[in-house]
Amino acid sequence: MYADYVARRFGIMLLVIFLAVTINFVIPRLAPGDPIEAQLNQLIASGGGAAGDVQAMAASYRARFGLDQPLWHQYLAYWNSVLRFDLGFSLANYPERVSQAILAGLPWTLGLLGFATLVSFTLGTLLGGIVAWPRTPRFLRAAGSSLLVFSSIPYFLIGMILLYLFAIVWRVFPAGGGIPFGTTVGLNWSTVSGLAWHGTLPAISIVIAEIGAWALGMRGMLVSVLGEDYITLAEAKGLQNRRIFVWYGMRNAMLPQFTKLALTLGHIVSGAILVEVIFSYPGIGFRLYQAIQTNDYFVIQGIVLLLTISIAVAMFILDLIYPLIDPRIDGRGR
Amino acid sequence: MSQPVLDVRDLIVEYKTPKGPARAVNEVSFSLRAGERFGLVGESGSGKSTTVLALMRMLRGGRIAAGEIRLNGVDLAQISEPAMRRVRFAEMSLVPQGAMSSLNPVLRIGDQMADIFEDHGVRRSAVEREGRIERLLEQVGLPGTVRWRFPHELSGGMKQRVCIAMSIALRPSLILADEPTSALDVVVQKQVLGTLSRVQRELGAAIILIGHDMALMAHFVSRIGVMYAGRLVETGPVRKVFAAPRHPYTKMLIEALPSFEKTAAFKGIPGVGPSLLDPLPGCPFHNRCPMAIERCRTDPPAFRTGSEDHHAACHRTEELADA
Ligand SMILES: Nc1ncnc2c1ncn2[C@@H]1O[C@H](COP(=O)(O)OP(=O)(O)OP(=O)(O)O)[C@@H](O)[C@H]1O
Ligand SMILES: [Mg+2]
Repeated sequence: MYADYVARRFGIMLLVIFLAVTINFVIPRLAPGDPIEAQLNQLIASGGGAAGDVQAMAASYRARFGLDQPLWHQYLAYWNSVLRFDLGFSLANYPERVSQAILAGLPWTLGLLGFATLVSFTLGTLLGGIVAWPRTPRFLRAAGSSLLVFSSIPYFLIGMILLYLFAIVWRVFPAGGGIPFGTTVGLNWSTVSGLAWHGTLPAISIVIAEIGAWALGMRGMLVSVLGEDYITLAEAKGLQNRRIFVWYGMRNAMLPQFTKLALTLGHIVSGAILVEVIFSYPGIGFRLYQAIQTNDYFVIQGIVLLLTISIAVAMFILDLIYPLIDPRIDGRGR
Repeated sequence: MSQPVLDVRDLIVEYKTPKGPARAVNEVSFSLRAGERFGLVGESGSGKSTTVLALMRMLRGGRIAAGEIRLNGVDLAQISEPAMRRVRFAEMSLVPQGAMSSLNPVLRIGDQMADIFEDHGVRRSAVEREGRIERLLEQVGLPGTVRWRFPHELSGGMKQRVCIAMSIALRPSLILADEPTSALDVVVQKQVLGTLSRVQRELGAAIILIGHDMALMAHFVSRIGVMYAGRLVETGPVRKVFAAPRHPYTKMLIEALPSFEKTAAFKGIPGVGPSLLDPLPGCPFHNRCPMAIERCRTDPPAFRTGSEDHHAACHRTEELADA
C-alpha cells in the first residue's frame, strides 16, 4: 500500500518537473523580439565598439545555440541539456556557466536558510505551544505573547537594523560576505568560526522575523486541538499534564506545521533574497538579484528552474514522511 | 448498611457568563451504593452533563460553588488537583459521549490504553501490559489485535467499545457514562449498551448513565433521577417512577414517550425552562405545570420522602400519587 502511494507521489513530482521545464522552455520563446539581437545590441552599445553586422552575428549565434532548428528539435535538445545540468552560459560573466554559478551559490543559501529556517521552526513551534497551553504560568505566557509581535516586522527591516547596530555602530560582526577573505576552506576551526561569524547577523534576522509566524500558526492549531474530544478524554483518564501537552496536544497540532516547513524549505532559494542582498551574502538569492540587474537571462532562467524543481522535490519528501506522522493519510496501519 | 460509593450533597455548580453566574446545577443530592445503576434523565440543558463533569472536576468555564462529592468517603470537592488526577479513571472513570472523536488520531489504540497504566503508576512488564490490554479488548467483544490499529481504522461502535475497555482498565468503583451511545445507530446502540452493562456487572462498579431515551434507560438502570432546570426533582426505583411518577414533570416526560397504543399526535411539554441566570421564585416548574397552585409560585418545594426511596420535590406530590 505504501509502495503504491510513493509511486503515485513520485509520478506527481515528475509531472510537476516536466511542466516546469516545458514552461521554462516555452516562455522565453513567446516573448516578443529577439533576445539574442537585443543582447548583442546591448553588448555593442556598452562596449562602444563598431556596430558591425548585428544580423549576421545573431544568425551565427542562433546556429551555435541551435535556435535555427525546428521547435520540437530545440525542445528535445533543451531537455537533453537540462538533464546534463547544462543551463548555458552567464551573459554577464561570459565564460562562467550557469551551472557553475548555481553550484557556487547553492551551498551558502542552503546552509544559511536551512539552518535559520529549522531553528525558527523549532523555537517558534515550541513558543506557540507554550503560549497556547492553559497551564503555562501566566508570566511565561505574557512574555511569549510579546515575542509574537516580531512576526509583523518584515525581516529585511530587522536585517537592516541589526546590520546598522552590530556591524556599523559596534562593529561586532562583519557587514557582508560569507567567510573572511583568505580562509582556506576545509573541515577546520577557522572555516567553522568564519562561517558562524559571517552567518550570525543574517541568520538572527531571519530567525527573529520568522519565529512569530511559526508560533502564531502553532498557537492557533493547539488552541483548536485543545477543544477536541480526545483531549477531554485524555484529561478524564488522569494522564500527566506533560503527556497530554506533548502526545495529545502538540503531536496533533504539529501536523500543519510540517506542511508549512516543507513549503518554506522548498522556497529557500527565493526565500531570503533580500537578506542575502542586505548582507551581501554569496548565496543564490544574491546571485539572482545581480542577474536581474544585469539582464543575465540564462542565469535567471536557470535559478527559476531550480526554484520550481526544489519545491517539487520538497513536496515529494513531505509526502514521503507525512504518512509516518499522520497515520490517517494512507491507512498504513498494520 | 455499607457506606455508599458516591454521596453527593447539595451540589451547586455555576458557569461564569457575561451576565453573571448561571446555576446549571442547584442543590443536587443523591447517593449510589456499590454496583448500583443510576440513570439521569431530563430535557436538554437541565444540567446532566454538568453534574457529571463536576464529579470529574472537569468543568470548563464553571466551578463547584458549594456542596460535597464524597467518593468512597473522600470529598472530591476538597482535594488538590494532583490528587484529583490520580482519582480519575482509577476510582471513577468516564465513557465519553463523542466516541467518534474521543480517541487520539495519531496514536495506536494499544498506546492510548497503555498510557493509562503508565500515568497511574501501574508498573508492569511490557509483556504483562500487552496481555492486560488484549484481555480488556476481548472483554468488550473486540479482537486483541485492535490494539495495533489507529482510530480511523475502526467503526464508531468499535471505538465506543475501546472507550468502554479503557473505562474499566483500572477497575474503578464508579463509571460515568454521558449519553455513551448517542452517536451510534440504533442496533449498535443496543449492542454497545449491552456490553457496557455486562462489563459493569462483572466489575461490580456503580454506574451513572445519562440518556434521553427513557425507554432504553428503563431496561438498563435500577434507579432513576429526573433533572429539571438544574435541580433533581424526582428520584426512585425505575419501576415505581414509571408506574406512579410523583412529580408532574416526570409524569409529562413519561406521557410524552411515543408508544404503539397511543397513535394520537405526539405530545411535547409546552413552554420552555426558566433562565438559569434569573431563576423563578418558588418551584422552577410552576410556569409550565398544569397543577401549579399559588403556593408553588412563592415557596420552593423541598425534597420529600415518599415510600421506600422514592422522592420528589413537589407540593402536590400526594395528590399526584392518588390520582
Ligand atoms: N461552559 C458553559 N458556560 C456557560 N454555560 C454553560 C456551559 N456549559 C453548559 N452551560 C449551561 O448549563 C446548562 C446545563 O447544561 P448541560 O450541558 O449540563 O445540560 P444537559 O442536561 O447535559 O443537556 P443535554 O441533554 O443537551 O446534554 C445549560 O443551560 C447550558 O447552557
Ligand atoms: Mg449533556
